[in-house]
Amino acid sequence: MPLFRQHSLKQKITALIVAASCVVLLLSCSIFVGSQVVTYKRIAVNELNAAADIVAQNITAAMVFDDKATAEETLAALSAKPGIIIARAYRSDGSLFAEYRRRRTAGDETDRIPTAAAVAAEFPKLISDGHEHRFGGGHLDLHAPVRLDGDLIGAIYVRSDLAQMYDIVGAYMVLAGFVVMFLIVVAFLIANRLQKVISEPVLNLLGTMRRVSEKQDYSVRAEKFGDDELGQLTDGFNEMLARVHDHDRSLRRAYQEAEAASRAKTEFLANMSHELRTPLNAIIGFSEVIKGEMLGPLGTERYRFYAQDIYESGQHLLEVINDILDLSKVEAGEFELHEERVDLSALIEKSLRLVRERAETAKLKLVVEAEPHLPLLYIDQRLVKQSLINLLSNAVKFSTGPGEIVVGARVASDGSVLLSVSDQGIGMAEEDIPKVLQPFSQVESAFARSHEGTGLGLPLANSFIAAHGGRMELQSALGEGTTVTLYFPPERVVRHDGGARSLPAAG
Amino acid sequence: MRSKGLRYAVPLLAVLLAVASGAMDLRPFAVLPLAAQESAQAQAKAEDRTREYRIKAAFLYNFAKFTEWPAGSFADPQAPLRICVYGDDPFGDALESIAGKTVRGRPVEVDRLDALSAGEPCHLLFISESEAPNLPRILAALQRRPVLTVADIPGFAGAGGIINLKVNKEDKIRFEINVAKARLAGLRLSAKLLSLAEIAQY
Repeated sequence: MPLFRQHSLKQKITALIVAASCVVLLLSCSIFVGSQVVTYKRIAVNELNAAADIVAQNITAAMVFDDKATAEETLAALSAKPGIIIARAYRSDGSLFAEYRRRRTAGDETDRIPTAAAVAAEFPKLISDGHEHRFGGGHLDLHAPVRLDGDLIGAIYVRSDLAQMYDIVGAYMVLAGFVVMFLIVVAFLIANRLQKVISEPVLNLLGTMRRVSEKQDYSVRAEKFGDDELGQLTDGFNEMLARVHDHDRSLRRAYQEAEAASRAKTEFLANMSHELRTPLNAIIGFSEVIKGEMLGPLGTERYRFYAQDIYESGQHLLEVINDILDLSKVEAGEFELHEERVDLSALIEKSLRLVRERAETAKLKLVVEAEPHLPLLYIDQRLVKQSLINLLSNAVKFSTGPGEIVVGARVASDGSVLLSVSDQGIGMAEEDIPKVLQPFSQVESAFARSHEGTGLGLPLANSFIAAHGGRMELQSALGEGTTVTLYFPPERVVRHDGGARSLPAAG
Repeated sequence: MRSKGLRYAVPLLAVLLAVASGAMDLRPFAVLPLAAQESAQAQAKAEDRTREYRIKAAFLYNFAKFTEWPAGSFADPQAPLRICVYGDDPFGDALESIAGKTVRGRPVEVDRLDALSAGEPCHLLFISESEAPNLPRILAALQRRPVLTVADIPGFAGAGGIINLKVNKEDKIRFEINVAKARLAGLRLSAKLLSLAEIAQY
């Protein structure tokens, strides 16, 4: 049924009913017309036989007394039957005795007048006691014996055209055509009504299904129209809907619970960070005072080292707490970008300043490979700077010996701005790359434990660049260093002619 | 009967003689064409007459087929239908061909009469041209008797006969019928027959 694939159920049912009706109607009309043809042929033969017999009766005297004129008159009596083209009387020796031809009207009928040879060929037993008839060429030919007092004295041959029969059959066919057309219309109207019995429950079911999928409303139920297969389908659908509804409710509940738990965790983290920072400020402040010997010398050098340790550990702890705070904000979706026009070169300079000391200690050279005339970017300066510092810290942290760290900045062909940090450090295996983007995950790893740090640097940088509508890419191989690239989309570039287009902050 | 046979033999003999003389008289060449011509003409005339009476004999038989006689005119259902010739017989042996045929199951008997007697009734009586002078007497004798009278004498139907045979312009044999006389004789003639006839109403 590829023919009907495009059509609706209603149209299909209607079309099927109408098609079935058409076939039945055409068949019955054909049978009707066919039987009419058979009947009319039989009637035509009977009538013509009767007419020939009457003529045979009446022509006997004329034949035996050899009166051709009267015989022709007798034959001419057949003119009362409109179909007759020619009538002939043959003598018992087969010779033609008399003939009647229909008066020619429109058109020459000579081609319809059979020759003596044709008649002889058609009816070899022309002079016999029997009747014979033959249909062909739109004619009915027949012959009848002429008998007088038991003696066979000749034969009557008649040819009748079947125009009258064809007219009647034609009229019947036209009538049948009209009846068929009318009945097809009736069948269509009835089918249009009856199809609802099937299509209505299906359409109802379909409507219910749509409502469920569009409005996510699992409480609706399909109306049942009967106990047939469609009723069972409706029942099944409703039962399924009830189950989905239950399932959905429990899922929703679980989801809400999970969400609440997550929120609680974030809130807890935020609160804790805040609560932790307050005492930490005292620790950092006082340790700084002590290591700077502001209130007088400590006496023993070791105290100063201890104070230095306290200060650095405090600083580190503060960083961790800040990172956790940022991360929890990102997770809680409470993240807002404070966008402004930023000169990337200046930002790189500021960031480098913060890690230069550490880099020099590790005998690492810091190289900037920035394109001249970099465009201004419309970004959150603090977040990008922090990201860059995180990347630089990682680079320093994971570099093993003397080498260089390259900070690159350039404009890509598609208009986006690339900011990259490359080191020649230990690198990492390819399968570990996705892991380092997960917060806290590498805190557990043996590899991270040997290096100080929270392991939050990359996930944070990733979240921040994502918040700008950009992305972060990591390229690394074990022992061959790491390159981290931040892509700022073209929308973040401040064009010379106008203001910056800003993206809505993505969570 | 004997005189009839003799009369019948005369034309035949004449024809035979003519043929014989034509065949034998070979020597005088000048005479031969004339003699042959005369004999041929005589022969043709004789043949025409033979043919004509053969057809007339068939007519007699067919008249019987289209005529109904009253029930009392036959002794029994199988009784023969008698066709008689009165006067000089012009038919030759043509009548013998219809003798023995049947009409509605009855065999046809052919007889030649010298005198009209009540003894053996005829159903169809052909009155020869030789009896033309005696017609009033003959017809008066047959008055109201169921006898179909046939003749080929001009004015026969008008004179009270029933069927009179004629030869028309196309050399076809036709007949006139005196319907009133037929009815008077108690004979019923078929309408088919009447439709072919010239109806004489005197």
